[in-house]
Amino acid sequence: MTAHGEDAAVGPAADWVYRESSADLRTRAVPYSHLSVELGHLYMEDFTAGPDRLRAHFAQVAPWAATARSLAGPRRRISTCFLVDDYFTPFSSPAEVIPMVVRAAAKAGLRIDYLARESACAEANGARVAPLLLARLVEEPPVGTASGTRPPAAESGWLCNGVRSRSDVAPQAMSTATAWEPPLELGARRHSVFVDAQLWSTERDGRRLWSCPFLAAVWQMLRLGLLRDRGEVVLPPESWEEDAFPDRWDLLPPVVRLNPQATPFWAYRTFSVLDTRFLPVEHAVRVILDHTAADPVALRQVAERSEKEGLAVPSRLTERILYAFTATGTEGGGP
Amino acid sequence: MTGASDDGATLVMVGEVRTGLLMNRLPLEADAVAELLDLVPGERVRTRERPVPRAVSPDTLYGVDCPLVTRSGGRVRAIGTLAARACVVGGRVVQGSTRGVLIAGGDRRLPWSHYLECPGVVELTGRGTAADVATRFLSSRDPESLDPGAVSEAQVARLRAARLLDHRPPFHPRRTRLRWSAVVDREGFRGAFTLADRELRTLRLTIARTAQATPEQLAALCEDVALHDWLLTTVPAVVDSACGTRRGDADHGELRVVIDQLLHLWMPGTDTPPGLGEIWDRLEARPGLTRQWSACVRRVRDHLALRTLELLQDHRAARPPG
Repeated sequence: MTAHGEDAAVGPAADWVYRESSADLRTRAVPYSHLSVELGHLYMEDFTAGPDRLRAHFAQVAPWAATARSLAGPRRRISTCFLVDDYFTPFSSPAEVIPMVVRAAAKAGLRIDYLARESACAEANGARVAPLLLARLVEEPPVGTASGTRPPAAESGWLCNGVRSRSDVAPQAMSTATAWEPPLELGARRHSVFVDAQLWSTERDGRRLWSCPFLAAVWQMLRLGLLRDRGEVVLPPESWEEDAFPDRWDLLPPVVRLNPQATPFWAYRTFSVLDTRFLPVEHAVRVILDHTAADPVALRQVAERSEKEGLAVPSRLTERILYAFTATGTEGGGP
Repeated sequence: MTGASDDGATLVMVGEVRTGLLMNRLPLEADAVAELLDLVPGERVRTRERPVPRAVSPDTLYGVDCPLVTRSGGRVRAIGTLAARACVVGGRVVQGSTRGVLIAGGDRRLPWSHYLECPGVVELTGRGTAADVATRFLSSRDPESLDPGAVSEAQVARLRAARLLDHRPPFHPRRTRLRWSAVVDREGFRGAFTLADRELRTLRLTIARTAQATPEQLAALCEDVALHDWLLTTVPAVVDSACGTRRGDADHGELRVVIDQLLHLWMPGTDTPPGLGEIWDRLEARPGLTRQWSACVRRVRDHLALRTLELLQDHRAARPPG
């Protein structure tokens, strides 16, 4: 990692300079792979189903990972990653799970370079992570009527890709005579596919429980290397030097490097091989990222680095994210 | 729509700054100011100590899609985001500042992500040039049209609600609004500063491209002008009222606040980048902001000297002859 400052506004041939460091902000740059390939999400039900289920999973993923690798082209930096749910339903321990996952992947010819904990997408070591993305959401104005007076960001915990149906907006203000008005997807092609995604719920103890789509959106932003906290990189991968992995998830680094020779965790583009049950989740992820104004300095760093490598990275975040959706037991699509 | 981005160098901006007294009995310490302005998780407050302490919050983006009317009367629609921030000067004066760069856009609205790629940029559709729109913006009274002032007001309101403040300001001066437009073009410098009414001021700037002004610098310049205009609106009013009353009647509470907490904030041009210094030269020539300020400060000092003399005389007169 190198310190990479914002463009300093220095006049021509300045012969006297006065600076205050707190007025001169820098944003850390990171190295990038060309592609980050996600080999799966592991939830408790997958784990309790036993090692055979895991082996079937990786057998199903392997051909798609190979395809992604060949489509990326020769001499490309490609890193692989794997996400374990320790947020919604924590289960087992790193000491038990990680060796099992690594073995199952190896049987399918796959190597997991980085393993991440899902709870780290919410917060890690007491530091906020999910709120960093929430702060970057910019609500889409309705057509022709928003002159700047609407409050920004989703304070309700819901984000949609359009205009909510009339009956959804203010039920208490509705008279029975008011006709129902359908919701509207902004920018729809003729007909709407309206999505209203819940970003969090509030637990009985007042704690905010982030939704799976929101954490998945954070996960995509982490892999794209676009999240910063006061200019610093969020959750840089760490190595685990000890022989055995810890017996508690919170003792494991948020993103752990399993392969010392791996190319960088961060990548210009991501590719995820997911079970079809994640399709609605990823649709919501795309709605969230289409409403995200990412750190302009981080975006510029990606643009400059990729350009130097002769690569065109799409400016739209959701165009940097690719998927293969499969169903368990289909072994890469075929029966 | 023709305009801003045609030759890649023209820059057209509009904005509005709202300036007022921070709702606190005493000026806020630097650490408290930094906490107050920490409005966006993950972003940083920029602070400066010299020559006058000033802190600026990170930007918040507001999505807009609304009509705008050009000088020639053509209907123009504005779609994009406005960038809003809050500033605190000397721990005492608060500003909500919102700006938008106007550029030519296509015929219809694009996916929202397109507008988020360029934060603080508003695309115009319809006939007319961005420069036309900027001119028209200053005199617009249409409540439906682009309203950065409402966003600035929301920024100030957000700060006003902060628990950090005791909400007991020493007095209640009027808030001012500075609506501004700036066109950076090949022509030379031109401008107009107008006191439209007791609250509203407008600043129209046309700046030569050689000044190499960035949107950020233009916003800072207008915040600087707004701050000094507010000081000139607030301080003479207090001084007038203190000096105008009969001997002994004057309530010197407000005058004391002005002397202790506001007089030292006069530092015009501090946030003016080298290429834009001409604006302050012009403002100092007409109307002559610093001339009025200096006269006001001299008046306060003379008034205080007189008061001291009077008090001494009263004291002597009250002393029994010995």
